[in-house]
Amino acid sequence: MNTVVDVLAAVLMITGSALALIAAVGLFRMPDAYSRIHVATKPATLAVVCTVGAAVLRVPGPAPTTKLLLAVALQFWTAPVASHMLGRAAHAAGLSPGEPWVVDDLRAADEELEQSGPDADSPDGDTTPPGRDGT
Amino acid sequence: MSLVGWVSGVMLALAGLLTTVHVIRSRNLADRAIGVDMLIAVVLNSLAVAIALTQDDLVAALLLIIGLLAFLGSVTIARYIEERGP
Repeated sequence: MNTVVDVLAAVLMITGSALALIAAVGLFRMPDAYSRIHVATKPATLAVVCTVGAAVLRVPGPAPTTKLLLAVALQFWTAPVASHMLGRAAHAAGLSPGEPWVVDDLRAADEELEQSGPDADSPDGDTTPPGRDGT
Repeated sequence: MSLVGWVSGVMLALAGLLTTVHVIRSRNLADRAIGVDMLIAVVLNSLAVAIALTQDDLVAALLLIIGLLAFLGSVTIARYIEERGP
């Protein structure tokens, strides 16, 4: 029984580390910032689940398990939000994709907001059109 | 188990090295933020592997803390880029 758990933990550890390595290679292979965000978010969730799963299998007792599972849950909540924010920022900063946009709803929403005037803005005032304030 | 530790340790170290090279070589702030985000993920993976290898949950709280700080940092940099450009 113990051997089975150890082998499972070993497989999970190797899988998670390999995922991280593949994602690091993907940072070089991918042509633009958006695909790099896509690549870089995978180890933040899937690989962390694998390696923390190995840790949960190896460390006995309920308290470490609780802490580790809480860490995984936190990672699942925050990693997609963080990468979404980075994608929004890359778009607002005017980074171009490797190929031309097929659909650019965010730009359309920005222009619509601009046409409706500053009075109709949302209260947080975060409506600066991308790349036009001449940083 | 020590062979597994070596293999995953070498893979994670290589991943961290490649990501660092990407951070250094990238030309704009957004790419750098992506690289740092990825670097944090590699650190989290390394901590989890260390916990699994040592069977000691001394650094388990660090997983929580580093994950939360990485999230706050990424969101802050993203807001900054949105306002100021790359």
